[in-house]
Amino acid sequence: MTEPRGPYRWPSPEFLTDLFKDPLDPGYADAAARRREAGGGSRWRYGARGATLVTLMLVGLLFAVAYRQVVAEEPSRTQVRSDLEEQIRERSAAADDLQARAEELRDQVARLRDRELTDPQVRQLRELEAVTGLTKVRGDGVVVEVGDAPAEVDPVTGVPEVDPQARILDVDLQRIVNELWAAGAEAIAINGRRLTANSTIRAASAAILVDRVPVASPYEVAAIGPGQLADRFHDSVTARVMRQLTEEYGIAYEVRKADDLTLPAATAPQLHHATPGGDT
Amino acid sequence: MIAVLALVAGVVLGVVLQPTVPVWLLPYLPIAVVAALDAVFGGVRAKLEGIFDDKQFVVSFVSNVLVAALIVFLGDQLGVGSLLSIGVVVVFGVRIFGNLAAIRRRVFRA
Repeated sequence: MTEPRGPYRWPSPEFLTDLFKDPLDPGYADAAARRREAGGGSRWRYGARGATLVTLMLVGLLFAVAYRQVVAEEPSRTQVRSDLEEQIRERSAAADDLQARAEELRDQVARLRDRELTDPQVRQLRELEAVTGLTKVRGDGVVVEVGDAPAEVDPVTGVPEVDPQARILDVDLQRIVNELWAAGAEAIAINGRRLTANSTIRAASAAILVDRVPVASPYEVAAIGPGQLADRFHDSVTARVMRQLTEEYGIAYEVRKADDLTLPAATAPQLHHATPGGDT
Repeated sequence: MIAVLALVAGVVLGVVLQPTVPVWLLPYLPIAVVAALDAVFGGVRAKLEGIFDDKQFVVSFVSNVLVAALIVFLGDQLGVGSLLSIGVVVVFGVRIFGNLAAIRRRVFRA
């Protein structure tokens, strides 16, 4: 070994430095040195030409295959995404249609029933329906509007993002609703979804579901109730908490009296296990 | 010249035969390509410097691809995902850049 680079040297501790300084595989220099020493022609020399050509063909094949793979994968990826989007659009349109049809049928049922039943029965039914949230109701009340703080643009990624601390949580909505019930509200709807005795308000990761349907910020909690509803709510602990959240995190929060609110009917819950009756 | 022809022949072969890659091989493909690029540019540079050696080229290509595949495989098994392959890409990337720079200096004298 006349050269400092012997053929069997260990990787030096400055492997990375070497890499940056001289990126060529040291093997080439070693081989050249060996050739010089041996005076030309290792025993690999003749078959080796062919091996190189085969290797190069392999490399070319690899490039072609990899390229084809990348090209083939791309459309399938976007395809899946647009398929899903399409499905979502279709399904929501179908759901809207069904919702409208349900509304229509409900009106029809109500009309038919009114025709068949006697007045006191009708009145009793109507009242029950209004209380349980199964029919459209009108009246004066209050609208509580809450919403996430405005999104701040992340200086690193440039993506607008809402501070998770400044988001409205399911518990916030629950407290507002409970406070409104406590203050004497008789009917409540969140973003146009009427609440019933079976209603749920819960979170699924970042989204809030009201009766298993996602609702988005800003949330509008409309309640029909007595004239003092707004004042009572304003004085409540929940309202105080919300005001504090506004100061600290900048969430949107507004309470206003509203006249002549119309709250839609809730979808009637389907009972599968419970049966009416049981009066012993 | 004949080497370039072999490379082109390989590409043509790939286009014509359209071999399908088995799914379990897919994660190794990108790393294998980077390893192959490194071997090719290393070979080109050695050729320009007049020290090209067939054995060295073949061995470096095969070992590059094998080691790269092994590292990806290890990364998968250890659950560090693609983190280990970052190392592979960095090393090969640096070498490709360095060799390309050497080739450029030799070809354009700049």
